[in-house]
Amino acid sequence: MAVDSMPDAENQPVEDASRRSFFSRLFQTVMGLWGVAFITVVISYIKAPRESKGIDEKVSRVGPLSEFEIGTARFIADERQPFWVIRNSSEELIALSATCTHLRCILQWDKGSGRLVCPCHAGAFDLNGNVVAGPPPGPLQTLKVDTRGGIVYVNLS
Amino acid sequence: MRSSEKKRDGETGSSESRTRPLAHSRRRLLLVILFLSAAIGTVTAQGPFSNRVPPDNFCTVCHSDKQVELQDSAHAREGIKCADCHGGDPKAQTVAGAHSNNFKRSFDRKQAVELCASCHSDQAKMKPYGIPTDQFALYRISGHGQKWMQGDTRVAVCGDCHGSHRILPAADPKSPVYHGNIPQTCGKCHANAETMKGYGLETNIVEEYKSSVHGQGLLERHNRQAPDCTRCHGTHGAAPPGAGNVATVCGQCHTKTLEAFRNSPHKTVMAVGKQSECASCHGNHSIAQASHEMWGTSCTNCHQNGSPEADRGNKIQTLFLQAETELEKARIALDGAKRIPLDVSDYETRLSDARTYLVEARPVSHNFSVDDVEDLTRRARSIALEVESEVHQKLGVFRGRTIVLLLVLFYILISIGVVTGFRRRLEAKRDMKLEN
Amino acid sequence: MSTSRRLVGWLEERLNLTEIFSFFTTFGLSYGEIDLNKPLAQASREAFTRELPTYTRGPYILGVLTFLVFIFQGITGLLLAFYYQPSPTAAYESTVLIIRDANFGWYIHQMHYWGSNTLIALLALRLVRFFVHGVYKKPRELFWVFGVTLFFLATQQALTGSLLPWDQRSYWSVTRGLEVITTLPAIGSILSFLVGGIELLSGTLLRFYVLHVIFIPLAMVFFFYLHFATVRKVGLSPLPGEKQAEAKPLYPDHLFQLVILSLLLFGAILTLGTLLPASFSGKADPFTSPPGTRPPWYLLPAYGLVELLPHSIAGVILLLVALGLLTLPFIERAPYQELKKRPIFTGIAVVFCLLILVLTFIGYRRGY
Repeated sequence: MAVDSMPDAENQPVEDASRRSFFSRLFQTVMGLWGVAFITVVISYIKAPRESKGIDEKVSRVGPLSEFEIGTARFIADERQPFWVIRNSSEELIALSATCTHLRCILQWDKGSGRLVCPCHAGAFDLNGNVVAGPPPGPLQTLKVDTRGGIVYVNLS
Repeated sequence: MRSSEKKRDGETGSSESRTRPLAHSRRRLLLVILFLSAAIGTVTAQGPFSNRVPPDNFCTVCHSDKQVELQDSAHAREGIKCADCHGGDPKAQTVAGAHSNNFKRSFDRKQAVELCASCHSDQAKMKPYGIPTDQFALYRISGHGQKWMQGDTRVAVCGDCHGSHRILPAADPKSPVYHGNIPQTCGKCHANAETMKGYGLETNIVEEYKSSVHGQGLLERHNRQAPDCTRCHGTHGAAPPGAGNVATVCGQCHTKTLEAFRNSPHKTVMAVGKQSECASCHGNHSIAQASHEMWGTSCTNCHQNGSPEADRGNKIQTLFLQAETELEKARIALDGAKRIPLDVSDYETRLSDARTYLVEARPVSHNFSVDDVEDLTRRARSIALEVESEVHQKLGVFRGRTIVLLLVLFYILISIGVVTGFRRRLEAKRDMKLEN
Repeated sequence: MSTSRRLVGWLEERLNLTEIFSFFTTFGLSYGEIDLNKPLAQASREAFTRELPTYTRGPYILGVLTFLVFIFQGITGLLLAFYYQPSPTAAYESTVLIIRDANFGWYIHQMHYWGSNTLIALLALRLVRFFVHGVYKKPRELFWVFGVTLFFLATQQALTGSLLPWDQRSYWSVTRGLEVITTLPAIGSILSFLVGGIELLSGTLLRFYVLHVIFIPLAMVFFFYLHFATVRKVGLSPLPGEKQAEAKPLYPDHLFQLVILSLLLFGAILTLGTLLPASFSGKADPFTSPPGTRPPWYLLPAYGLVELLPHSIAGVILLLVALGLLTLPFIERAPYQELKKRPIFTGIAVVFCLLILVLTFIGYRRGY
């Protein structure tokens, strides 16, 4: 501010100086707070926002059970969490997360061996989610499957 | 005329004009009038349909009233004429001639059915029109038909519902068998105590039906999907559904409910006890809009008060009522938020998810499994609760914003005060400097 | 010597700091002469202590407030641009992101919205004051011309901006607004060429965005600059009856008044934004026209006229009115400033304002 460039003309009496500096300080504090508020608002606004609290129920609809052939697997590209659903028998449905625990590549279903394999570094998981080959450090997440009214739903975590 | 007479004023006086022959122009006028009346008379004297007397169907000359009735009918449209049913000679121009040749004036109730069936059960004849030919066969197994075969002459025959001359297609709203008119047509007999005497059937059926949710849907809201008498009882094979068949009939539309009912303990029990499945709780004709209150009252119609079954009914009722209440509360919160206005479209979607679960629960509840109902109503309730709390949070955010506003405005006032004070000091200092 | 003085000295050897400082004066802060050859400390002291006719008090604040609002819109708009994406598939979602998820995003969005309404209102009020106080007499005709130009530019800025959220109400209200604008004879076709046709298709959104963020703001800055330039040349107009506007030094008077005005303005816009938030109506659906859409409020009088008359005639009338407004100083040439000494044009102005009111009402009703 140009306050500093004001010429110091004569000597002010001491009380005046302290009153003046009090007002000056007060002014600077008040205006300074506005400046601080402005910068805070701008910075916190520019900071990437937190994820919107999902009001979506974390359930993904797979489809009618009758259209799900026994022995087949289906990949559901749900944006929140992609997953594989495998129907082993007429009752058994298994849902597993499709993201490899190694470096987050998307897994593929190998029907011959009954495993989920990772194309990136040849990791492999069995139907319980356990690592059976390759570099993945931990097991796959199992997701809960619900069948209601003949429709298969998977609960995302 | 008079002017021409006036012109010849000096000639014969007016007293002689009455006995004179008509003047030339007057004669001409009269001829014109005569000719016109003859022409009009010729055209009109033969009745309003004078241009429709077919040259090969002189029946209609005397029987024009029947011709009027026949006119709109499906038979007339297809070229079927009087003689095709009644016999006689349509080309004869005398009464005796017309009424010869196997002429039959009218048919008794046994003959009438056979007459209709003579064409309508003949597949070769009906094939070009694409009309089914099972009417007579169905009629023979119907309540009406059974009695007819035994010689009862009071039961309905073809003409009682379809009419005899003015037979209109069922899709025509003027037809007595149009779906909106069927309750009235059936009610002609079935709501008439005189006609139904001796058969042991209720005669308040049509009244009951009109007050039911089906009747109101069909007759007041003109909902084509609502069942009329024939949807449940059949058309030509009209008979009440048997004790083990009621659910199947209702299930033609209420599919999910039927599926649930078949998995319920009531199915086998009611079959054994020969009870009417759906009708034992919902009624057969006076079916009212189902409500959650029924869970509290219907069970005790058969089950003991306080029995485990009645308790189950109460539990299911509680589940439903709780879900409804939550949904209502969420709805109120949403409406309040919309007025602010807040953007609540996401929440609307969620709330209709919740409502879907609740609506799904209603047919499912007919398997009388508390667990299944609980599963669905729990989802409905939890979604509704979530929506409500989030909306309230948002409303709270709005209130929070007002508080923030007041604080900021307050601070603005303070700042203005400080700035003004500081400026005054500076000015005072400057004035002092100037003075010095 | 203090550090800042040493730093200034170091810079002064390499840059003409006074020239950089003169940008502030060029843009209206202190509109006296600045001697670019003097060092910064001296030049700025002179600038700050020189006595200027007040532009921060009395009826003159309309001008300063307008500029402050413009700057405010620029800042909030810049912040909004951090998140906004101008494509029909992402526009609505990104706006929702700003409102729901970005910290303070709701405030910034609401204040930007109310700032735009405030800008248009202030520009209109300023024109009214110019007329009442006869500001546009020689040599200040350009005050009026630039004022009218800025007003029109501000309405276009608001129109292009209001499409950006791509929500149902704004989409359809801008469609109605474009109907009005494209009735103008020559300009209408130029504008519809600019926006890529009268229908709002997906390419239109991007063009509106470019217009709103780059072209029209640049044009407005340019006209603000020209306005300050002419003020520097001819000075502020005295109020009728007075000889000259009161003179005060920039520091502390004008500067502190500016601070106070900014605070009050901020408070006003914040209040409007909090208590009367802009409503949101769901993503735009170009295939569903909701009932009851009106063009934006500042186009309602023009809309009323367009509804009453056949489009071509209304367009010609609107163009004539715009031209008439622009050239008013050259039409009304009485050398007096007082209203009562210009009775004819005062009467015309009153009738004009009444017509605007009536047409606004008609436009409002016609849009049911």
